[in-house]
Amino acid sequence: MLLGPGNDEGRRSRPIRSGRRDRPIIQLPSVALRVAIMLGIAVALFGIILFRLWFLQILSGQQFVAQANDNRLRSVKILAPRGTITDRNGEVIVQNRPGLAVGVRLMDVPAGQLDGEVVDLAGALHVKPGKVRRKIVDHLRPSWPTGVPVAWRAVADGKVASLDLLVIKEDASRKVVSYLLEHRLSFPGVEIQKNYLRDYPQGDLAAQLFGNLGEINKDQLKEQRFKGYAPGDMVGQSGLEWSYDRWLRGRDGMAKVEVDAHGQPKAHAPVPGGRLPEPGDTLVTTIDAKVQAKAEEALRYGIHLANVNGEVAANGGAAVVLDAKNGQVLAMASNPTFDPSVYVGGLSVKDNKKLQDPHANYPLLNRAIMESKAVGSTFKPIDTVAALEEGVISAGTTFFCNGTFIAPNTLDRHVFRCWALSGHGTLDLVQAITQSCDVYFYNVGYLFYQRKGTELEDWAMRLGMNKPTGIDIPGEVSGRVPTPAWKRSYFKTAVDKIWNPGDSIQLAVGQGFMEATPLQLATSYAAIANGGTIVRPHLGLKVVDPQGKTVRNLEPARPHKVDISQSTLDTVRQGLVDAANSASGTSAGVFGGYPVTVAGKTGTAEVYDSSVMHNVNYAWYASYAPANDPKYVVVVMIEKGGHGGAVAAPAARLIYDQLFRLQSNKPAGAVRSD
Amino acid sequence: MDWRAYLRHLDYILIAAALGLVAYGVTMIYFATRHDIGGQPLRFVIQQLVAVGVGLVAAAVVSLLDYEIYRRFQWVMYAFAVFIVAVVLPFGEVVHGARRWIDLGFQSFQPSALAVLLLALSIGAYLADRMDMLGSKRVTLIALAMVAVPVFLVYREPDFGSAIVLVALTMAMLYFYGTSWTHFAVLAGSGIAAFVVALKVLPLAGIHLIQQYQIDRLFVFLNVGHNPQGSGYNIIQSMIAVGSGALTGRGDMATQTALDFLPEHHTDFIFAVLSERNGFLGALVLIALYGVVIWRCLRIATLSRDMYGSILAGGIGVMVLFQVFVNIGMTIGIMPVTGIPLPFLSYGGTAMIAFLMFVGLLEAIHLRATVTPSTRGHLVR
Repeated sequence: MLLGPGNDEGRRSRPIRSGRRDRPIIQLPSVALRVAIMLGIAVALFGIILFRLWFLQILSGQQFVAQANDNRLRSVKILAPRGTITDRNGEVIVQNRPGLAVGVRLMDVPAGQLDGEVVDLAGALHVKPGKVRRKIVDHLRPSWPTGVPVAWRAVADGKVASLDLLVIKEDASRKVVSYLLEHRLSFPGVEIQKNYLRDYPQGDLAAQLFGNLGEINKDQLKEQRFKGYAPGDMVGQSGLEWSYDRWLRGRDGMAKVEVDAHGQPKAHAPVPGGRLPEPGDTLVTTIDAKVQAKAEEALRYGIHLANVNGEVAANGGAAVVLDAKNGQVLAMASNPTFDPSVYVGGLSVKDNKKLQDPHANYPLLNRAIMESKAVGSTFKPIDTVAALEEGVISAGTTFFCNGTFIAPNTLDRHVFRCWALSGHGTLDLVQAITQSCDVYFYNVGYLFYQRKGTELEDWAMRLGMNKPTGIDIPGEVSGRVPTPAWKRSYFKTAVDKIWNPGDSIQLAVGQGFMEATPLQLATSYAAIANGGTIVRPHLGLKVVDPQGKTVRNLEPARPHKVDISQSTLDTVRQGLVDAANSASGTSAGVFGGYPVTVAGKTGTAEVYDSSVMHNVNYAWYASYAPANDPKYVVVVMIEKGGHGGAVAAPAARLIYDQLFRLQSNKPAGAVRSD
Repeated sequence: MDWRAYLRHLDYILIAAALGLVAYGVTMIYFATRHDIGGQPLRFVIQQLVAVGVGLVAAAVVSLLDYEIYRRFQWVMYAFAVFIVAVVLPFGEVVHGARRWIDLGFQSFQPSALAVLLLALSIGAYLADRMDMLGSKRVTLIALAMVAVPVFLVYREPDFGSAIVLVALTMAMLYFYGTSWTHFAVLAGSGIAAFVVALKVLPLAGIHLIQQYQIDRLFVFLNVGHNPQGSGYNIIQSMIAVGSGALTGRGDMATQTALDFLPEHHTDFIFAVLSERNGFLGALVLIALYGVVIWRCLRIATLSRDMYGSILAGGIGVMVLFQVFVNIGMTIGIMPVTGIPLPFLSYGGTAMIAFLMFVGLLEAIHLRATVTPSTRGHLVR
């Protein structure tokens, strides 16, 4: 039964093949033909497969092996500790402390879970989910080829993912980290990364100089200076951290880990091909921590003096200490100041609000380089150099000061007043500097005006005004030396464009449209002190590698020299020495009898304050010492501090105390002075 | 019964090729799944071997039976095929959003895999019974209508792969039945037209027969880089696996499989597992084995004593060719992802049993074709 009878005759004996109910039919298909065609098709299809396999496996095999290794080997970044920043004597001002960062690796978040996970993670980190989302999207932006911002939807749906660990929180607390580790199963893709955070053992010392770190942003990635940096890298965003990032950052290491498709690491022997992190180099700055601290104390003292003197609005200032010969910055202080550690691990909204509050008077502002103001009488030595070098006057030229000056042959008959209302009488040049006689320099300014040239302006620029000094931290402003050309381009109306006698007269006493930063003034005084060399101030001294070897000296290119005749220098220097020492000198009350001979000029600059809608006095003191062999230039400016001799000069003396290791009582201000 | 005649007239080349494929497949399932369930490296291999055992017994039985009897029960088989694919829709277990399996308590059972066998026998019988109507449009249309019902049901599971396998099988049987070329031309034309209408014209009218993601998935192989984390992921990982196998394979360094980068590694992408492990040479062996199977199928189609045998053998051969090409093509990025398993290789008990029964059926056809009149007398008691 099993092998049933089937058809009675064999296939070959019958011309027609047919089934049980076969009826005679006219035409039968040729099975053989159709089989032959199908064989041909089969051969063709197999040929296609073999060709493709040959292409994939034989021709591109090694490429795919590499891709398979890319798949399974995950590079884990081992962060390099960032270099420390020290003062010139090796005292550490900025260092690292270990921290823990919380990040998420999108590749390892299962599809469709990201939305919920972000909410949970935000809860654990005590931030808003929107912030976490924004962080993730921002991280992805740089690598996105089209430049179109990534939509959160695309990320949540898994259309965009990233192998990199996207750091959500830089400096997570132990509590948060242990919570996340305990609940790691509810947070797939979330990883804890050891990192280094900035630490400031000296507190707010020189806070404005170092700058903060932040993740490199989209625009920075395109910049030449950040070439070779990767998205997610922490870079210096300002100050020295920005300027010397290349040296400070070191080189992140890399460990290779074998992971499965779900991102779970496989416990195996370490995979070769990793790289140890190289710590960053140490930046040795020109700063002297003791001098810096003293300069900051001096500013507080100057403001205190101003307040005591009745200048209750005084609330800020700047001090610069330069090496007179080479421009090394021994101190650069700005008041008010702030605690730089608020930036570590991300600036909180609260702290940011505090720093930006106008009542806090902008502590982030480095007033030594980022703010230019009228410099008042401290400009007179520059004036003197210009007048003598151009032959406008000679050292023996005298003018009579009766307390006022009216420019001759002008229509407006404006009365310019000397600070000494009753006048100084007849003065020669040295006496005029000593007593800071305004009328004398009004005359000089008017003489310059009559020459119809720009000699005074040119000299001011030659001595470092009107352009940034080129210090090695970003954010410097250029100040301004007004010229006829500047007036023409700056003002709109024809009347305003005219260069008036008053413009030259005002410039001669450092007023009017004239503006300079404390650092610019310091470079000009350094030129007077060192005989005409325009130094380029700098904060970086050298770069030292972790083994202690100096890898780079940061001395700037050779400064250029301005030719100033010796007689001119002698006259100006004499005036400055007398101003600080002779009985009639404006700061003699402060520096008279001081163990080191100081040469210095007071300044009381009238600056229009838009908040109170009238002029306020900025107190200046610009000086160098020792007078016979100048080593240091000290410039102090107290905002709204009143008279230079009353507040700025005493502050400067505090700094000299430190520079020359002198013990002295806190100096009081000169009673009546410019 | 004459066992000697039976044994003498078996197609041993076909048996050897089929068993070679099965052995190769079981080995690869082992390598693909040994890490899937901790502590049970042989879990999937044992399940597959059970299916192989059942399949071999079933194949032996089928080879002994005269396939003429299926003609008698063709409508019963057809009704049963429709029944089992219909019953899975309300009663099947849901896996990955699809109802393709019925839980029999001790074992899951995939109705669509068995339906392929039943429909081959019933539609083949329908065609063989109408050799006198060769060239008639009615036969072509009814055969297509017969398969359309289970295809629709299978598609609703959804099991797109099985649905197109059924269509391919029916077309192949029509081909060996001798359907006129003009019918095929018209079918091809209307197929393309329907595709264009469903894809381009109806969406304009607001009717979406095919969802966008299905279209994306279908065409993703043309541009896998378009969405490497989404629909392109499987193909990319599969191509990396295949390509990294190079000439001789990566052996135990087959990380795409071991580390789970390769999706569906023991079912749809078993070829990628094999290629990664054994390289071009290993793949060549596999393709040669398939070549032998298809060659033997087509040879049996020409030898068959009647048209029913020819239609069945040819249909089975083309179906195997179709599945092999589409499945391997998918893993190497030249065909869309359709979810068609690799015959004899992919993990899946019902399909394994069905394919071994196909081999039994081919042997039955072979036996009855090669037994000469003189020996046949001995064969029948």
